[in-house]
Amino acid sequence: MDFGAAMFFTDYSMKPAELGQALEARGFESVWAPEHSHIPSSRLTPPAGGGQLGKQYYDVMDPFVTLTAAAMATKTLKVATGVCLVIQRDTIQTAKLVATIDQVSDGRFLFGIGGGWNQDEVESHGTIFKTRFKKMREQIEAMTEIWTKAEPEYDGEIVNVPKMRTWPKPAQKPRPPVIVGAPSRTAHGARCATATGGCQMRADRHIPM
Amino acid sequence: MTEFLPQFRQMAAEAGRDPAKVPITIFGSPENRDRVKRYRDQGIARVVTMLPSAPDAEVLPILDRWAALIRQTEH
Repeated sequence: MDFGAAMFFTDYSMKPAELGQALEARGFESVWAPEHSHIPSSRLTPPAGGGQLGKQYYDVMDPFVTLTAAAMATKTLKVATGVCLVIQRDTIQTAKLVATIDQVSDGRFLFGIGGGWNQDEVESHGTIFKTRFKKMREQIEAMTEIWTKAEPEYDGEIVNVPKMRTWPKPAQKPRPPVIVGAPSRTAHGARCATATGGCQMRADRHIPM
Repeated sequence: MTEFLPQFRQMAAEAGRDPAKVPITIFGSPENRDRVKRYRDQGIARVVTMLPSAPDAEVLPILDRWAALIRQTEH
């Protein structure tokens, strides 16, 4: 069994390069970076455990940048999004981010993904909350086309990629592991996980991702 | 968490996947040796602990305790 550690990297936390080295020296396999692009002041969705949303949710840095810093400071540590809210991101740009970090880390990237729980945050990005998991599935299917084909195209109900060319392709073949975030004790997450690569479950429901 | 595993593995099988080939990561694992060993014995592939967004003086002692837990779990 492998061990990882997650941190909301902020401008007052340990830096990702320092944490990466500290983890690698202690036998950890991976470092995980969550993401929230922003927290809308409207706050329509309460945190899963109730109470106030922690300050770190407002302050967290971009995961692809912090994980690149961690990867450059280490040799074997895997770097993982935990989780990347792909439904809040552009599909083509995200495919290139994933392929690029997998290349510069020499194949050490783990693509943890999630559909988000914070409704108004998701909707700020123009995503329809109700169908976000369908969008996520189509995005991963489209990205897999982009990562594995010289001239990919994808025609989904929500996601469409015209026939095009883009490199780099990921270092890991056919793609980095895709690990789907799921709240524990719900069947919904299992349905997501059966469609892709692996599953990430929260042991503590009071930590919304 | 553990009560959910049989249902998850059944759903993976029904979706045409070999449940043994769908690795499961526990996110937000408590710092508890018995719990971590139980996850290992149940075939969990990876446990991830959530660290505070804090400087090294607060974080490194947590990592040192986990390093001991990692060694104890391996043996």
